[in-house]
Amino acid sequence: MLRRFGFAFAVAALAASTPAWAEDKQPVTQKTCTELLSFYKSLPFTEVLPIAEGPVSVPGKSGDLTIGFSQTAFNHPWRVAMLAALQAETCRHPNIKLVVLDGNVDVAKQSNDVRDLLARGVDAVLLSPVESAALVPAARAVMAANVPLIVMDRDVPTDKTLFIGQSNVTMGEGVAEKMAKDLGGQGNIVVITGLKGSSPAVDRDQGMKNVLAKYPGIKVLATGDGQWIRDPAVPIMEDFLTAYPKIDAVFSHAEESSWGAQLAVARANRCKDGIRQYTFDGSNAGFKAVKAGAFQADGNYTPFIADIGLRAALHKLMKKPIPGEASYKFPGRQLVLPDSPTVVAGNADQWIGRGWGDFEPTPDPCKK
Amino acid sequence: MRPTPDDDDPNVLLRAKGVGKSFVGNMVLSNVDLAVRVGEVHAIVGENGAGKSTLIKILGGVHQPDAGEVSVGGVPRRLRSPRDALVAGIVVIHQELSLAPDLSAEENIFLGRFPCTVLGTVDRRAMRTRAAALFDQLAVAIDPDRPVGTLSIAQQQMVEIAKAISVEPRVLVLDEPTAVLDEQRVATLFGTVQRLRSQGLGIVFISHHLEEVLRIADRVTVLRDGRVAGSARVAEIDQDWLVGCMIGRDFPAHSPHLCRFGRSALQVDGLTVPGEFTDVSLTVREGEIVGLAGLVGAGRSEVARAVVGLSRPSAGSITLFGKPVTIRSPNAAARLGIAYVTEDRKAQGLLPNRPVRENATISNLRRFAKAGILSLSAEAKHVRDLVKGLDVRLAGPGVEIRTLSGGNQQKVLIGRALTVGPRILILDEPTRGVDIGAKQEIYRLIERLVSEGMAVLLISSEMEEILRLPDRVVVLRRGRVAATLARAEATERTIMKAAALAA
Amino acid sequence: MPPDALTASRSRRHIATLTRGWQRVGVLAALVLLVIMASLLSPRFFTVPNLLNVLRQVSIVGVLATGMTFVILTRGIDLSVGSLLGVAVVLFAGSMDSRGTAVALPLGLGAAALAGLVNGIGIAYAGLPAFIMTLGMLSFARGLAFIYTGGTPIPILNEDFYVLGNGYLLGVPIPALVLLVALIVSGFLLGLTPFGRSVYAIGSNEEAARLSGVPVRLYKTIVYAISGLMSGLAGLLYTSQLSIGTPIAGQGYELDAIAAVVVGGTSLFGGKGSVAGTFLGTLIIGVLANILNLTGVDPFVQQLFKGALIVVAVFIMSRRT
Repeated sequence: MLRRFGFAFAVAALAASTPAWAEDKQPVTQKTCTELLSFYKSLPFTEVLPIAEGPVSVPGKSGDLTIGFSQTAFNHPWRVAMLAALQAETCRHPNIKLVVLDGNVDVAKQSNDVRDLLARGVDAVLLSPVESAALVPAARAVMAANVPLIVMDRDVPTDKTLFIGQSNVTMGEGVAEKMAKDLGGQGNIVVITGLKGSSPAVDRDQGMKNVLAKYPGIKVLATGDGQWIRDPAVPIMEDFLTAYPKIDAVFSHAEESSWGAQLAVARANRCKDGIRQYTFDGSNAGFKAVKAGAFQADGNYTPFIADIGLRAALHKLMKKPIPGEASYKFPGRQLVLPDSPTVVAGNADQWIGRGWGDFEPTPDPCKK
Repeated sequence: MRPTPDDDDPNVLLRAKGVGKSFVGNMVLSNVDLAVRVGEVHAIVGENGAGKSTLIKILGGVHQPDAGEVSVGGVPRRLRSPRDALVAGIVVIHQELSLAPDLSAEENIFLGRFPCTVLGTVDRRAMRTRAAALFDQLAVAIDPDRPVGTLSIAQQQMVEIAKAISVEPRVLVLDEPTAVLDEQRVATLFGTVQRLRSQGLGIVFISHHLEEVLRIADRVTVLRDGRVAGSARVAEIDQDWLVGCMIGRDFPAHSPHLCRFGRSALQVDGLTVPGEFTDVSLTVREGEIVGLAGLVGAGRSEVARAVVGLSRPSAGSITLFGKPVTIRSPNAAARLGIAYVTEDRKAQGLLPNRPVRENATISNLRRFAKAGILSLSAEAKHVRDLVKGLDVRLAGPGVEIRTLSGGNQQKVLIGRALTVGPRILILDEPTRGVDIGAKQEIYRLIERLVSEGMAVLLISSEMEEILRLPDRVVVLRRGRVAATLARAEATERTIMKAAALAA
Repeated sequence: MPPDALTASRSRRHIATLTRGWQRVGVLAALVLLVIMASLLSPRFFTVPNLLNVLRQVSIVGVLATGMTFVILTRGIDLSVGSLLGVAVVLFAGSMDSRGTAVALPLGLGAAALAGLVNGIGIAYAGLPAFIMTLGMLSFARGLAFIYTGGTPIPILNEDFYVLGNGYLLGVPIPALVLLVALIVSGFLLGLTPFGRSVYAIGSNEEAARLSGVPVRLYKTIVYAISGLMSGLAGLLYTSQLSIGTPIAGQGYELDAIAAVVVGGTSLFGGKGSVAGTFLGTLIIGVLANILNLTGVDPFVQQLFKGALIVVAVFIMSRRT
């Protein structure tokens, strides 16, 4: 709660300090429309449900369209990148106004946020839920209000207009397959998970286990909780290196944790062991690291689905059909995305620039 | 030696500081301080042999002090002869007049410094005019031409005074001027003294007659056995005080400490803190215990809290040793020499889980710090001395204070207050929750402190305490002073009457 | 004194001596016990490289806990240290490569100290509860860190900086040396200056300290500024060890720091404790995490150990006094 106030306060302070002559910067991403439009060209899924640049006309509605976006949180650059894709699509259509709310990884807050969006009279709601089940009542409220509801990333087990998401299980399987192949079905690995108990961590782990069931020669020595980030991973990996003289690979749920592990490897003078790194996230920095050989594979979990989400919502408002939508296990429809392959040395060049994040990879501590 | 708070008072004309004098191994004066201000009559009293004449002879340049210094108008002077004294602006009129009986009054006045004409002869006209002017100034009618031997003693004295003021001194010392005068002549002399005072002279007045002192002097310093036994503004004292001071009885615990009163240490005038108390005035002198009595809620602790800067008075003033001050925090109060031992030991006094040592020194850590670093050995020594001096019983200065008995805790807290090096000590219910033995020890401690010159303001709800210790009792009722009782007037009845009954 | 009183006072003295003895050695004894157990559980524990690892691993939280010790000794709490670390981290990362160390260091440390100062002013002068003021700062500072970075981590390429976080001096990891220096300076301040004495006094009885002439408000403000400065220093260790400036750096560290202080024997009720104890507390928590990782204990179960340790340590501490 307080975090929300502090953040809002800081945003307000920043907005007040923006010089009047500068082109308006979008909230959170701090990018101008000019920057976002050039960024739009690098997005991977712009050919899905394409809409031409310019104002969008919706039958029975004149003037501006207001679209609400309730995001899990903006505490990770992946979430920020997701918003950037949405803002880029918005910049292409001058009559669309975006309202963005920060869920702060708090289901209660996000539930309220969604209702707040309805109260503001938005024309469509884009929702990327903190947690599936808890957002059901809020999702029902949107549907009851006859407002299109596009759910992205994590699903909600209730009726919705459309769900757009990727499977962390299949992605985990893809990365684990690559690892098993590289190891020749034999070896000792350690696992550094994402925040324990969170659904992507559970799903990526499940994907890995599905694959390892086929490779009894690969042994998981130990598992640590990397919490998606770098700092917990360093001592965990240090201690693993102390405890186990022979480690062949690190299976980490996040690029940041992989970097932490790599720092620990360098510090322990174990670079020569050739410990392989398998990771997830799909950032450009990660792809570059794959190309440079620091990582052997990077699960390409793209945040660039929010632009599709907006286009899907506009399709609904324009009463146009959505090609590729289909029924699935939950009420409502699902849009099946084209597969994004696991990024490995062979295809890294194709993907660099199409991942998320415009920051550089950490210099490989083993290459110093 | 404690710094005198009026050290830099520009109104002080004549100052003796730490003056000492011995004759063939006999100490006659020791560490005598004296300050005579502009337009002030400062009486010096004392029994024979108390050192009055020696002090005057030092001021007059007849004797030189072995210790200390004399300054006039802020400038230290070495008075090696009467002439030095004269140059410095001090003129002494001794008991035995020193006039030439055959010479005329005017000749006596200008003896040795006759005004001259251009021809080098005595300018009698000028002499006549100036003598007449001097007599005018003194408002006496004396024929300047008459031989002094034919004048009355009182008249001769006036001639002497005229002679003295003809050199335009800054300080006039009158040694027993009334000894030879009858009642009526004394009145005339006093008229003259008043006149000189109003002209801005500082006047030192020596007399055995205490009622004269009370009548004419603004301030009095009492000498006893060559030391200053007390010094006070005349308005604040009475004859008993003077007598007590001069004879210097050894006071048993139950008698007044008359002699020990010194200057006014803490003076509170018309102090008001809205909602707490209104128009409270009281004075505590050095060596005096003033009791502050009243019912619970009468505003006693509130007065103490205002004095140490814990509340902001809306009216009134606080004066310390004659200097008006504004105190905004206990820290500031401590720097000015006021220490406060609070009423609620547990809530406001103890640092319960800290050692006795730290409890004792927290009030003045600067005292043990050199270049910002605490000297633990200096601190330990101080605490050892305190523990010994206050007779605190404990296993060692490292034990937590909460393990001590109430009485020992209270002694440590008094020790904390003393660490400040205070001259004014405010004790709020100092024996609450303390066993009888420790209570007596605390009483003895307070008595010892006042005998060393401490000014003590004692707030107490215990009748026995308020009747036993204080020299005066100020009774508050509903935030106002209901009565100020001298020791002799203070009884359980008078105090309760003032505290509880409407006037 | 009558003879029986003498005996009573003597036995009281014995008890007092014993109690103080326990306070001094209790935490150390716990650490020694833990180290012995760890050595038995894993042959790799009691090796020089592993022990040096532990020292470096605890350095960040150790520095935070050192600053936190000042605050808790005054009976306060500083929940903002993790966020202030975050602010320092993004400022170091954002200015290190472009403007150089000479700008980056004072910028990051100064910002954290300034934020601590604001905490102190809010608490000491505006009279806000420490819990609320620093909770607000926790959120506010984190927001600033996010805004400064736009939510994206900033990698650091500066080589000197890498050495600071990962290098050795005389065989000891540099971050551990930084922690030791912070501890020694803090120990000196607390033990040998009027300020330190007053910190204990404020925590023991703030009203009594105030009435004794201690400039309570000033010193409380300084205490929070020190905590802020230590957060900045911890941020320096963080950035240099991890080669990245991320706006989420230090999330939740405030609780680790408080745990280290409390396990180290400093009372949450103020006036009792020391930075030496905090160092031992930091080591106890660090060694525990280390041995759990070395023996491959499941991360879910690790949490149980840590929680139990904190509660048991404080329980024993409260029995002793």
